[in-house]
Amino acid sequence: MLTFAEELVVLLNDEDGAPVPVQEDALACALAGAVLLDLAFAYRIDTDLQTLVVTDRTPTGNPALDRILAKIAARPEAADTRTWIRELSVDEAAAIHEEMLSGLVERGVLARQVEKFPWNLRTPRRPIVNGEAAQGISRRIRAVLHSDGIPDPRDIALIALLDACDLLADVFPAAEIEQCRARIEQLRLMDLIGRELAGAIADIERTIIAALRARSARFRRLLLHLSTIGGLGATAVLLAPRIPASDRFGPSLLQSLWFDELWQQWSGYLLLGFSGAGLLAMLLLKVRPVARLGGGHWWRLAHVGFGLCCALLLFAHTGFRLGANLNAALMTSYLAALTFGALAGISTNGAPQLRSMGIPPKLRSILTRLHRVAFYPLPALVAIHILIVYLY
Amino acid sequence: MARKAALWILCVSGTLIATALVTAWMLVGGDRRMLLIGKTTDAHHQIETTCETCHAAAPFASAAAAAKALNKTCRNCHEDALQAAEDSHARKLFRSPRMAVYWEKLDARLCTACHVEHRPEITRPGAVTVAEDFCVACHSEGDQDVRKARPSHAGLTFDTCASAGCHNYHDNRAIYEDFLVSYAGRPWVASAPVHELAMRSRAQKPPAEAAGKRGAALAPATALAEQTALHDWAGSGHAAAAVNCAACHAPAAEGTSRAAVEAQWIATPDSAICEGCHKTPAQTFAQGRHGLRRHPSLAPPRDPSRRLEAIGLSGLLPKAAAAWLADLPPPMHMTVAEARLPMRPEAAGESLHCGTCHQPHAVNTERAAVEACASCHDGTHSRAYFGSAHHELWRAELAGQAPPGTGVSCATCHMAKAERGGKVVTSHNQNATLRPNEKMIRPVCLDCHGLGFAINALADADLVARNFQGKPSVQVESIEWAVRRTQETGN
Amino acid sequence: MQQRFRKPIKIALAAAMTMAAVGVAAEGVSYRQAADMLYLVMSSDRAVYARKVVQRLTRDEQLLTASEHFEDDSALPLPAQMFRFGAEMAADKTEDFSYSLLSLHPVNRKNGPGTDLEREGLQFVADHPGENFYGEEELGGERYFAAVYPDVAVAEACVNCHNNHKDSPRTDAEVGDVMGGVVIRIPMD
Repeated sequence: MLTFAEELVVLLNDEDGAPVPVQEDALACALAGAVLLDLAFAYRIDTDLQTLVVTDRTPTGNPALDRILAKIAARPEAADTRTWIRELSVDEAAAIHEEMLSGLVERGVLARQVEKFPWNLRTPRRPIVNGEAAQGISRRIRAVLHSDGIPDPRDIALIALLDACDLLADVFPAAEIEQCRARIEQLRLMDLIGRELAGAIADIERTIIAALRARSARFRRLLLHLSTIGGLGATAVLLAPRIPASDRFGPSLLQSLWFDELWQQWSGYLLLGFSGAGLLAMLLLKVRPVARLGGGHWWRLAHVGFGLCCALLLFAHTGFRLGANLNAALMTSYLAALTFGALAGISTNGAPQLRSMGIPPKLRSILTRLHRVAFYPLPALVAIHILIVYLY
Repeated sequence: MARKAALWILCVSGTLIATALVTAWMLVGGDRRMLLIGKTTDAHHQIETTCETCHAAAPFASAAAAAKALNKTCRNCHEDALQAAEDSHARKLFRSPRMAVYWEKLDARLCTACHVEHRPEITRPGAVTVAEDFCVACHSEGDQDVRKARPSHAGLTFDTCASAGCHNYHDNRAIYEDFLVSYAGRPWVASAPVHELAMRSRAQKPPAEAAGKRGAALAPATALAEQTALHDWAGSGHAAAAVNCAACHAPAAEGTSRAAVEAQWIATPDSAICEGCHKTPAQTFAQGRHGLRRHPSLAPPRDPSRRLEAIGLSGLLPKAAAAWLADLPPPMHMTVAEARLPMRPEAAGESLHCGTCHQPHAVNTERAAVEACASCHDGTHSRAYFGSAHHELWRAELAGQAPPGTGVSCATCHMAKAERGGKVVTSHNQNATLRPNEKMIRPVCLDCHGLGFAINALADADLVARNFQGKPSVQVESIEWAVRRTQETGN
Repeated sequence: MQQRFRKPIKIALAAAMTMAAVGVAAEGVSYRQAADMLYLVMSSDRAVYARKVVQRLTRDEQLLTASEHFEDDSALPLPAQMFRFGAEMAADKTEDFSYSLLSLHPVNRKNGPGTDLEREGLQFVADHPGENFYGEEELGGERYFAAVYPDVAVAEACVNCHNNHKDSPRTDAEVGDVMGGVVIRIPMD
């Protein structure tokens, strides 16, 4: 039998072996929640309102679960579920994901594909080998969702976890989930398991909802708005005519901005600084201890904020004139990075809205990747651009 | 994890390698076309890869030093023309500290105050990169306020100073007040119009001492077998001036034996041979748009080995890499394919040297004056020439129905003749009379036309495009105003 | 002290060589002496041109005319033009000193006073015949020593032209009048 975490990983792998693009936060919380569910179902932990305690230290036999169990047991003072969800989602999610993937490969459910050259552009794939086992999971869940029968408590827990993390619509067609909304609520209320276990599941679920949804909704809306502004701006820039040079002699702000060497240096270095800051915000997001501060939302907000500032500075620096040759390459690359960044922001933070519009979630990962790819040539082009200015 | 590290290494090393490579192109040598930040103005595109012709300052020089060096290179090529134009705003007039108050408005000491290269977005006619009403900077206040000093100018706006056909920033030789007054009241065309210098030019004979020295054509048998060439040469000015085969085809063996001539025979001599004798045409050719790439002020290709030596890398670089660092000098001759003006498609393969317009044996200047131009140029103005009044006059002159000097060819206006040391020479620098087109008034138009007509005609862009078929629809009032003011002041 | 006078020495030496006159004391000259020497060279050259070239060829031998548009008219440049061309050529070559011929009643407006010192100096030499004006001023961020020397109408031709030129604001000049002044500037290090 697969663990919750393994089932989650299999569900989030598409037929080609590529991961289904989901919110990183949601995935991390789901993995943390899945491990806790596994431990709860194995009667190793118990929860109440204040604490999550280890009731049995006997190893389960699954190395990943045992590692987490040992970690929880090792803590001298008891912490609540909320603390553990946050800690595991930040510190352990990536490791758990890797361990689950390896475990699935070992068991012959997934296969490891050798990474070929464009690995910088593609996420490594782990195609499903044992299709029966993999499809079995989604078939099981579908059966629960579409019937009025009495389900297995494990399926209820898995559905509750997926729903808490807002991942159901990523795994199954959004419309299908909408139809089953009543059944999902009904499952939530079913009292099929022992009170203690049910309490633990509910606690984990509640905690995740509190940690993930409430925290992110505000940010997500803000990020969506900012990204939309960026996207609209990019569209306007692509479609709008360039502002021509003034026909009046004399000081003019735009003229100075675009054609005065001193102003150009100011706006250029500011642009470089803000671009660097934007990049740094994204890189820091990947550093776990830093990411724990504010759960990554602030860094993501900073990234988008810097990106918007860069767009404004780019207008000040160039008037969005493309220039020629290497300058044109630099501008194209930069504008592409900004545009794809805005679109990636919209598709990530507006996922529910896009889902309801029938736009496939895959678009999100494509756009994010394009945003990243457009960035790669920028450092060299910027360095050359600056050198040209001072050498000629 | 390994994947991430590899990605980082690839990104950083790719960035470093690309930057280093382009930096080497900038500092040592190599093809720099991709570094051009924007289209260059006018004919400068012909020399845009010889960066050091203009960017003469040392790398990383201060902004002031770079600007100074840059402006000096402008003068290297354009100073003579500006002096000839009696530049109304010459640099020397603004160097005195008493002009400091004007430096802040528009620093006339620097060419780059108004002419910045590689800025197509703000480049206006005449390669000017400031707004057209720039006169407002200095001539709208105090003693220099033209609207107060000239009551006739009270209601005029500054964008019309240059655009109306009245003033130029540099060259005002044909449009200053006393000149206007002295030419007032002349008819639009003279009763017996003739270009005096053209007339004298046609009458110029080869030097008397050449007569009798003509001798036989001394050349290899294969060359002599080309009857057309031999025939053309025999009727040419070269033959009349005793310039025999060997003078061009075997200059080192000229006047020696047939065997020596045959041994040193050059089948197709290049333009350098022509330049040996035709110094003024060659010199002016290099100043003009056709021969710009032969201008003596052009920076030679950089020597990568010397540059590498300077940074202590001479021995370290493999030969193959050194080839990457070789400068890409522009081809010696401008080609028709590179032209920015409309050209005949069938001429695309042509390049511009002496022989392009002058058939080397016949040296027929009549062909060179019209047919040669029209064999490439295909703009509205060029096409409209055929059938125009000027063309009719030219045909009549060629047919012997009109006296010498009465025809108007392309060369009459665009390669104006001048007198030097009593001899009439043809300037091969089209720029000398090209832009602003008022430059053409004195050396060309006034030979036949009245000043008022010439000013109006040149200010009428449509008429210029029609190659002056019809009458000007533009009425420039400058002569009337000048005359009125002279009468009012009683002088 | 030595430092302060380095530039005047250079100029004075150049002036002295031009004049082929008495040597300048090695210990240096003041800005004022340097300006005086420069003025002597330029005013002498102009006087020679006016008398030995223009006056002789136009009035005495009547071979040529002198004209404002000397190139178009195949004539001699006017002495004032010759002086101005020299000033322009010097300005083109050096920033060590500059000079100009100015007037409170200029034929060409650009030769009117442009700075407060020029206005004051030109007024002073007009009001005090035979005296020069010396001062200091700051232009374009640099400090200059400036000297203004009176320019007197020495011949009938000068007066006639100035009185009759259509652009001349003054029509009542007489021989011996101060028509304007020569302004010499030397940057003070």
